[in-house]
Amino acid sequence: MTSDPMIETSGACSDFEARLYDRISGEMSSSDITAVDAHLKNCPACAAAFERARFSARLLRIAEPTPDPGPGFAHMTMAHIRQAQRDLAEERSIWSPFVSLAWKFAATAGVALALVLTFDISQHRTTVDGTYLSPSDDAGLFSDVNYKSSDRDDFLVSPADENHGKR
Amino acid sequence: MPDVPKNVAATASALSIPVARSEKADIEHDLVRRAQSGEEAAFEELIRRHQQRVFGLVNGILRRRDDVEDVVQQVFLKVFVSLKRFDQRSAFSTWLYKISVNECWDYLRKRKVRPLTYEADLSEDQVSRLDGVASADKPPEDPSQRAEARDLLERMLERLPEEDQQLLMLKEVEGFSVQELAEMLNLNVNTVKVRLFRSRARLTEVYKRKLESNTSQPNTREKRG
Repeated sequence: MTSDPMIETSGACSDFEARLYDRISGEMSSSDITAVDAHLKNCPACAAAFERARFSARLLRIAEPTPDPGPGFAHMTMAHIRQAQRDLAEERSIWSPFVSLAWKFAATAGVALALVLTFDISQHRTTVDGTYLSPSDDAGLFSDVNYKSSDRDDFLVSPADENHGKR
Repeated sequence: MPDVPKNVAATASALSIPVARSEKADIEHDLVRRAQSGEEAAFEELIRRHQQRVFGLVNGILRRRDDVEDVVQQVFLKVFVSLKRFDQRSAFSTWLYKISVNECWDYLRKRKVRPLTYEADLSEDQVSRLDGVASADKPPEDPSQRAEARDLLERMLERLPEEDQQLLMLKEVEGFSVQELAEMLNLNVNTVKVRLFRSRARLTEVYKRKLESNTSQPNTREKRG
Protein backbone atom coordinates (compact mmCIF):
# COMPACT_ATOMS: atom_id res chain seq x y z
CA MET A 1 0.00 0.00 0.00
CA THR A 2 1.34 3.38 -0.90
CA SER A 3 -1.33 5.60 0.64
CA ASP A 4 -0.20 9.08 1.54
CA PRO A 5 -0.47 9.72 5.30
CA MET A 6 -0.82 13.47 4.62
CA ILE A 7 -4.28 13.02 3.11
CA GLU A 8 -5.99 10.55 5.45
CA THR A 9 -9.07 12.75 5.97
CA SER A 10 -11.12 14.82 3.56
CA GLY A 11 -10.88 17.93 5.76
CA ALA A 12 -14.65 18.40 5.78
CA CYS A 13 -16.88 18.39 8.88
CA SER A 14 -17.18 14.68 9.70
CA ASP A 15 -20.92 14.83 10.36
CA PHE A 16 -21.46 16.43 6.94
CA GLU A 17 -19.45 14.08 4.72
CA ALA A 18 -22.27 11.63 3.97
CA ARG A 19 -24.58 14.51 2.98
CA LEU A 20 -21.87 16.05 0.83
CA TYR A 21 -21.57 12.72 -0.97
CA ASP A 22 -25.33 12.70 -1.56
CA ARG A 23 -25.03 16.26 -2.90
CA ILE A 24 -22.36 15.20 -5.41
CA SER A 25 -24.18 12.08 -6.54
CA GLY A 26 -27.44 14.03 -6.95
CA GLU A 27 -29.38 11.82 -4.56
CA MET A 28 -30.87 14.61 -2.46
CA SER A 29 -34.18 16.41 -2.02
CA SER A 30 -34.34 20.13 -2.89
CA SER A 31 -34.74 21.15 0.77
CA ASP A 32 -31.64 19.17 1.73
CA ILE A 33 -29.73 20.72 -1.18
CA THR A 34 -30.56 24.19 0.17
CA ALA A 35 -29.34 23.23 3.65
CA VAL A 36 -26.09 21.69 2.36
CA ASP A 37 -25.38 24.62 0.04
CA ALA A 38 -25.88 27.03 2.95
CA HIS A 39 -23.34 25.05 4.97
CA LEU A 40 -20.88 25.04 2.06
CA LYS A 41 -21.07 28.84 1.84
CA ASN A 42 -20.13 29.20 5.50
CA CYS A 43 -17.58 26.40 5.82
CA PRO A 44 -14.42 26.78 3.69
CA ALA A 45 -13.07 23.35 4.77
CA CYS A 46 -16.22 21.58 3.58
CA ALA A 47 -16.32 23.67 0.40
CA ALA A 48 -12.71 22.73 -0.45
CA ALA A 49 -13.29 19.02 0.25
CA PHE A 50 -16.52 19.15 -1.76
CA GLU A 51 -14.70 20.63 -4.76
CA ARG A 52 -11.97 18.01 -4.55
CA ALA A 53 -14.51 15.19 -4.37
CA ARG A 54 -16.48 16.67 -7.26
CA PHE A 55 -13.37 17.06 -9.44
CA SER A 56 -12.56 13.35 -9.05
CA ALA A 57 -15.44 12.61 -11.43
CA ARG A 58 -13.25 13.99 -14.24
CA LEU A 59 -10.60 11.41 -13.40
CA LEU A 60 -12.94 8.50 -12.70
CA ARG A 61 -14.78 8.89 -16.01
CA ILE A 62 -11.61 7.62 -17.70
CA ALA A 63 -12.16 4.18 -16.19
CA GLU A 64 -14.61 1.92 -17.95
CA PRO A 65 -16.85 -0.72 -16.44
CA THR A 66 -15.90 -4.34 -16.99
CA PRO A 67 -17.37 -5.54 -20.27
CA ASP A 68 -19.87 -8.39 -20.41
CA PRO A 69 -17.98 -11.67 -20.86
CA GLY A 70 -20.40 -12.64 -23.63
CA PRO A 71 -23.14 -15.21 -24.13
CA GLY A 72 -20.70 -18.13 -24.21
CA PHE A 73 -19.61 -17.55 -20.63
CA ALA A 74 -22.76 -18.96 -19.02
CA HIS A 75 -22.52 -22.07 -21.18
CA MET A 76 -18.82 -22.48 -20.37
CA THR A 77 -19.49 -22.03 -16.65
CA MET A 78 -22.22 -24.68 -16.72
CA ALA A 79 -19.76 -27.07 -18.37
CA HIS A 80 -17.23 -26.25 -15.65
CA ILE A 81 -19.85 -26.91 -12.95
CA ARG A 82 -20.85 -30.25 -14.52
CA GLN A 83 -17.19 -31.30 -14.72
CA ALA A 84 -16.61 -30.31 -11.08
CA GLN A 85 -19.69 -32.30 -10.01
CA ARG A 86 -18.51 -35.34 -12.00
CA ASP A 87 -15.03 -35.12 -10.50
CA LEU A 88 -16.49 -34.91 -7.01
CA ALA A 89 -18.79 -37.88 -7.57
CA GLU A 90 -15.95 -39.93 -9.05
CA GLU A 91 -13.69 -39.09 -6.16
CA ARG A 92 -16.36 -40.15 -3.71
CA SER A 93 -17.16 -43.44 -5.49
CA ILE A 94 -13.51 -44.52 -5.74
CA TRP A 95 -12.28 -43.67 -2.29
CA SER A 96 -15.27 -43.99 0.02
CA PRO A 97 -15.15 -47.89 0.32
CA PHE A 98 -11.40 -47.77 0.95
CA VAL A 99 -11.76 -45.09 3.58
CA SER A 100 -14.50 -47.06 5.37
CA LEU A 101 -12.44 -50.28 5.18
CA ALA A 102 -9.38 -48.49 6.49
CA TRP A 103 -11.31 -47.18 9.51
CA LYS A 104 -12.66 -50.69 10.29
CA PHE A 105 -9.18 -52.16 9.97
CA ALA A 106 -7.72 -49.48 12.23
CA ALA A 107 -10.42 -50.08 14.87
CA THR A 108 -9.89 -53.89 14.81
CA ALA A 109 -6.12 -53.48 14.98
CA GLY A 110 -6.51 -51.11 17.93
CA VAL A 111 -8.68 -53.59 19.89
CA ALA A 112 -6.32 -56.48 19.08
CA LEU A 113 -3.30 -54.47 20.22
CA ALA A 114 -5.06 -53.55 23.47
CA LEU A 115 -5.87 -57.24 24.15
CA VAL A 116 -2.30 -58.38 23.43
CA LEU A 117 -0.86 -55.71 25.70
CA THR A 118 -3.30 -56.56 28.51
CA PHE A 119 -2.50 -60.30 28.22
CA ASP A 120 1.23 -59.61 28.13
CA ILE A 121 1.11 -57.46 31.24
CA SER A 122 -0.99 -59.97 33.13
CA GLN A 123 1.42 -62.80 32.14
CA HIS A 124 4.69 -61.08 32.92
CA ARG A 125 3.81 -58.67 35.69
CA THR A 126 1.87 -60.96 38.05
CA THR A 127 2.68 -60.78 41.74
CA VAL A 128 2.63 -63.53 44.34
CA ASP A 129 2.97 -61.54 47.49
CA GLY A 130 2.56 -57.99 46.23
CA THR A 131 6.05 -57.60 44.69
CA TYR A 132 6.47 -57.39 40.96
CA LEU A 133 8.44 -60.13 39.28
CA SER A 134 10.58 -60.00 36.22
CA PRO A 135 10.09 -62.65 33.48
CA SER A 136 13.25 -64.43 34.69
CA ASP A 137 11.55 -65.00 38.05
CA ASP A 138 8.71 -67.05 36.46
CA ALA A 139 10.30 -70.34 37.54
CA GLY A 140 9.70 -69.40 41.14
CA LEU A 141 5.97 -69.69 40.70
CA PHE A 142 6.22 -73.43 40.04
CA SER A 143 9.19 -74.22 42.28
CA ASP A 144 7.43 -76.99 44.19
CA VAL A 145 7.32 -79.75 41.56
CA ASN A 146 6.04 -82.34 44.03
CA TYR A 147 2.98 -80.34 44.92
CA LYS A 148 -0.24 -82.36 44.45
CA SER A 149 -3.65 -80.86 43.98
CA SER A 150 -5.72 -80.96 47.07
CA ASP A 151 -9.17 -80.75 45.47
CA ARG A 152 -10.89 -80.55 42.06
CA ASP A 153 -10.62 -76.78 41.68
CA ASP A 154 -6.98 -76.74 42.63
CA PHE A 155 -6.34 -79.52 40.11
CA LEU A 156 -8.00 -77.52 37.30
CA VAL A 157 -5.75 -74.48 37.82
CA SER A 158 -2.57 -76.56 38.22
CA PRO A 159 -0.36 -77.36 35.17
CA ALA A 160 -1.58 -80.48 33.32
CA ASP A 161 1.82 -82.11 33.28
CA GLU A 162 4.39 -80.67 35.64
CA ASN A 163 7.06 -83.22 34.71
CA HIS A 164 6.78 -82.76 30.94
CA GLY A 165 6.17 -86.49 30.41
CA LYS A 166 9.01 -87.67 32.70
CA ARG A 167 8.30 -89.65 35.81
CA MET B 1 -54.43 9.63 -30.10
CA PRO B 2 -56.28 10.95 -27.06
CA ASP B 3 -54.59 13.51 -24.87
CA VAL B 4 -53.47 12.06 -21.59
CA PRO B 5 -53.46 14.46 -18.66
CA LYS B 6 -49.93 15.17 -17.52
CA ASN B 7 -50.53 14.06 -13.93
CA VAL B 8 -52.00 10.71 -15.09
CA ALA B 9 -49.03 10.08 -17.38
CA ALA B 10 -46.66 10.98 -14.58
CA THR B 11 -48.45 8.62 -12.18
CA ALA B 12 -48.32 5.81 -14.75
CA SER B 13 -44.65 6.31 -15.40
CA ALA B 14 -43.99 6.51 -11.71
CA LEU B 15 -45.89 3.27 -11.17
CA SER B 16 -44.28 1.47 -14.08
CA ILE B 17 -40.88 1.30 -12.36
CA PRO B 18 -42.00 -0.68 -9.28
CA VAL B 19 -44.22 -2.88 -11.47
CA ALA B 20 -41.31 -3.65 -13.79
CA ARG B 21 -39.06 -4.33 -10.80
CA SER B 22 -41.61 -6.60 -9.21
CA GLU B 23 -42.01 -8.53 -12.48
CA LYS B 24 -38.25 -8.91 -12.74
CA ALA B 25 -38.08 -10.09 -9.13
CA ASP B 26 -40.87 -12.62 -9.77
CA ILE B 27 -39.04 -14.03 -12.80
CA GLU B 28 -35.84 -14.29 -10.79
CA HIS B 29 -37.66 -15.91 -7.87
CA ASP B 30 -39.07 -18.49 -10.27
CA LEU B 31 -35.66 -19.10 -11.87
CA VAL B 32 -34.10 -19.68 -8.45
CA ARG B 33 -36.88 -22.08 -7.45
CA ARG B 34 -36.46 -24.05 -10.70
CA ALA B 35 -32.68 -24.11 -10.30
CA GLN B 36 -33.11 -25.36 -6.73
CA SER B 37 -35.17 -28.26 -8.03
CA GLY B 38 -32.26 -29.21 -10.29
CA GLU B 39 -33.15 -27.52 -13.60
CA GLU B 40 -29.77 -26.67 -15.09
CA ALA B 41 -31.25 -24.43 -17.81
CA ALA B 42 -32.71 -22.18 -15.09
CA PHE B 43 -29.32 -21.89 -13.40
CA GLU B 44 -27.65 -21.10 -16.72
CA GLU B 45 -30.17 -18.29 -17.19
CA LEU B 46 -29.32 -16.95 -13.72
CA ILE B 47 -25.64 -16.92 -14.69
CA ARG B 48 -26.46 -15.07 -17.90
CA ARG B 49 -28.44 -12.44 -15.98
CA HIS B 50 -25.76 -11.80 -13.36
CA GLN B 51 -22.45 -12.57 -15.07
CA GLN B 52 -21.62 -8.99 -16.02
CA ARG B 53 -22.17 -7.60 -12.53
CA VAL B 54 -20.24 -10.44 -10.90
CA PHE B 55 -17.42 -9.84 -13.37
CA GLY B 56 -17.49 -6.14 -12.48
CA LEU B 57 -17.51 -6.90 -8.78
CA VAL B 58 -14.62 -9.39 -8.94
CA ASN B 59 -12.66 -7.16 -11.29
CA GLY B 60 -13.29 -4.15 -9.02
CA ILE B 61 -11.74 -6.00 -6.09
CA LEU B 62 -8.97 -7.98 -7.80
CA ARG B 63 -8.19 -5.21 -10.32
CA ARG B 64 -7.62 -6.59 -13.81
CA ARG B 65 -5.90 -9.76 -12.78
CA ASP B 66 -5.82 -12.63 -15.22
CA ASP B 67 -7.63 -14.85 -12.75
CA VAL B 68 -10.89 -12.85 -12.73
CA GLU B 69 -12.64 -15.35 -15.02
CA ASP B 70 -11.54 -18.32 -12.89
CA VAL B 71 -12.74 -16.60 -9.71
CA VAL B 72 -16.13 -15.79 -11.30
CA GLN B 73 -16.52 -19.43 -12.36
CA GLN B 74 -15.66 -20.52 -8.84
CA VAL B 75 -18.31 -18.11 -7.49
CA PHE B 76 -21.00 -19.67 -9.67
CA LEU B 77 -19.87 -23.18 -8.74
CA LYS B 78 -20.23 -22.30 -5.03
CA VAL B 79 -23.63 -20.75 -5.69
CA PHE B 80 -24.73 -23.89 -7.55
CA VAL B 81 -23.58 -26.18 -4.73
CA SER B 82 -25.24 -24.15 -1.95
CA LEU B 83 -28.32 -23.02 -3.87
CA LYS B 84 -30.60 -25.45 -2.05
CA ARG B 85 -29.78 -23.76 1.23
CA PHE B 86 -30.75 -20.30 -0.12
CA ASP B 87 -34.17 -19.51 1.39
CA GLN B 88 -34.95 -16.49 -0.86
CA ARG B 89 -35.55 -14.20 2.14
CA SER B 90 -33.06 -11.76 0.62
CA ALA B 91 -32.65 -10.99 -3.06
CA PHE B 92 -30.67 -13.56 -5.05
CA SER B 93 -28.30 -10.81 -6.23
CA THR B 94 -27.48 -9.77 -2.63
CA TRP B 95 -26.63 -13.36 -1.73
CA LEU B 96 -24.63 -13.80 -4.94
CA TYR B 97 -22.62 -10.60 -4.35
CA LYS B 98 -21.77 -11.64 -0.80
CA ILE B 99 -20.46 -14.98 -2.04
CA SER B 100 -18.46 -13.12 -4.73
CA VAL B 101 -16.87 -10.75 -2.19
CA ASN B 102 -15.96 -13.67 0.11
CA GLU B 103 -14.49 -15.58 -2.82
CA CYS B 104 -12.32 -12.56 -3.69
CA TRP B 105 -11.04 -12.28 -0.09
CA ASP B 106 -10.34 -16.03 -0.07
CA TYR B 107 -8.50 -15.74 -3.35
CA LEU B 108 -6.35 -12.86 -2.13
CA ARG B 109 -5.64 -14.62 1.17
CA LYS B 110 -4.86 -18.06 -0.27
CA ARG B 111 -2.65 -16.79 -3.03
CA LYS B 112 -1.13 -14.21 -0.71
CA VAL B 113 -1.41 -11.59 -3.41
CA ARG B 114 -2.50 -7.99 -3.26
CA PRO B 115 -4.61 -6.36 -5.93
CA LEU B 116 -2.67 -5.05 -8.92
CA THR B 117 0.18 -2.77 -7.90
CA TYR B 118 2.47 -0.48 -9.82
CA GLU B 119 5.92 -0.09 -8.43
CA ALA B 120 7.07 2.79 -10.62
CA ASP B 121 5.88 6.35 -10.01
CA LEU B 122 4.31 8.51 -12.75
CA SER B 123 6.70 10.38 -15.01
CA GLU B 124 6.27 14.09 -15.80
CA ASP B 125 5.02 13.28 -19.29
CA GLN B 126 2.44 10.87 -17.94
CA VAL B 127 1.14 13.42 -15.44
CA SER B 128 0.86 16.01 -18.24
CA ARG B 129 -1.07 13.58 -20.43
CA LEU B 130 -3.41 12.70 -17.58
CA ASP B 131 -3.93 16.41 -16.96
CA GLY B 132 -4.87 16.82 -20.61
CA VAL B 133 -7.45 14.05 -20.35
CA ALA B 134 -8.90 15.37 -17.07
CA SER B 135 -9.16 18.93 -18.43
CA ALA B 136 -10.87 17.87 -21.67
CA ASP B 137 -14.64 17.99 -21.97
CA LYS B 138 -14.84 14.28 -22.67
CA PRO B 139 -12.53 11.26 -22.47
CA PRO B 140 -10.28 10.59 -25.52
CA GLU B 141 -11.84 8.59 -28.33
CA ASP B 142 -8.63 7.01 -29.57
CA PRO B 143 -8.45 3.50 -28.02
CA SER B 144 -4.71 3.68 -27.33
CA GLN B 145 -5.06 7.07 -25.61
CA ARG B 146 -7.97 5.75 -23.58
CA ALA B 147 -5.96 2.70 -22.57
CA GLU B 148 -3.05 4.86 -21.51
CA ALA B 149 -5.33 7.20 -19.54
CA ARG B 150 -6.87 4.20 -17.77
CA ASP B 151 -3.42 2.94 -16.90
CA LEU B 152 -2.47 6.35 -15.47
CA LEU B 153 -5.67 6.48 -13.44
CA GLU B 154 -4.87 3.01 -12.05
CA ARG B 155 -1.54 4.37 -10.87
CA MET B 156 -3.27 7.32 -9.21
CA LEU B 157 -5.72 4.98 -7.49
CA GLU B 158 -2.78 2.92 -6.30
CA ARG B 159 -1.90 5.81 -3.98
CA LEU B 160 -5.14 5.29 -2.05
CA PRO B 161 -5.77 2.64 0.60
CA GLU B 162 -6.87 -0.68 -0.90
CA GLU B 163 -10.43 -0.50 0.50
CA ASP B 164 -10.87 2.99 -0.97
CA GLN B 165 -9.72 1.83 -4.40
CA GLN B 166 -12.19 -1.04 -4.31
CA LEU B 167 -15.08 1.15 -3.15
CA LEU B 168 -14.39 3.75 -5.84
CA MET B 169 -14.14 1.12 -8.57
CA LEU B 170 -17.30 -0.66 -7.48
CA LYS B 171 -19.42 2.47 -7.02
CA GLU B 172 -18.14 5.02 -9.51
CA VAL B 173 -16.96 2.69 -12.27
CA GLU B 174 -18.87 -0.58 -12.05
CA GLY B 175 -22.08 1.17 -11.00
CA PHE B 176 -23.03 -0.66 -7.79
CA SER B 177 -25.34 1.35 -5.56
CA VAL B 178 -24.42 2.53 -2.06
CA GLN B 179 -27.07 0.17 -0.69
CA GLU B 180 -25.60 -2.80 -2.55
CA LEU B 181 -22.09 -1.96 -1.34
CA ALA B 182 -23.30 -1.65 2.24
CA GLU B 183 -25.00 -5.06 2.06
CA MET B 184 -22.12 -6.91 0.42
CA LEU B 185 -19.44 -5.38 2.66
CA ASN B 186 -21.54 -5.50 5.85
CA LEU B 187 -21.22 -1.75 6.36
CA ASN B 188 -23.62 0.99 7.33
CA VAL B 189 -24.95 3.02 4.35
CA ASN B 190 -23.65 6.25 5.88
CA THR B 191 -20.22 4.71 6.41
CA VAL B 192 -20.07 3.78 2.73
CA LYS B 193 -21.01 7.35 1.75
CA VAL B 194 -18.39 8.88 4.05
CA ARG B 195 -15.71 6.53 2.75
CA LEU B 196 -16.67 7.26 -0.84
CA PHE B 197 -16.60 11.01 -0.24
CA ARG B 198 -13.18 10.82 1.43
CA SER B 199 -11.81 8.52 -1.29
CA ARG B 200 -12.91 10.88 -4.03
CA ALA B 201 -11.42 13.89 -2.24
CA ARG B 202 -8.17 11.96 -1.68
CA LEU B 203 -7.94 10.93 -5.31
CA THR B 204 -8.09 14.56 -6.41
CA GLU B 205 -5.61 15.49 -3.70
CA VAL B 206 -3.13 12.89 -4.99
CA TYR B 207 -3.64 14.11 -8.54
CA LYS B 208 -3.16 17.79 -7.64
CA ARG B 209 0.00 17.02 -5.68
CA LYS B 210 1.40 15.16 -8.66
CA LEU B 211 0.59 18.11 -10.88
CA GLU B 212 2.17 20.57 -8.45
CA SER B 213 5.37 18.54 -8.10
CA ASN B 214 5.42 18.22 -11.88
CA THR B 215 5.18 21.96 -12.47
CA SER B 216 7.68 22.80 -9.72
CA GLN B 217 10.38 20.47 -11.10
CA PRO B 218 11.31 22.55 -14.22
CA ASN B 219 11.84 25.64 -12.01
CA THR B 220 14.19 23.65 -9.82
CA ARG B 221 16.13 22.61 -12.88
CA GLU B 222 16.36 26.23 -14.06
CA LYS B 223 17.72 27.27 -10.69
CA ARG B 224 20.25 24.45 -10.80
CA GLY B 225 21.24 25.36 -14.37
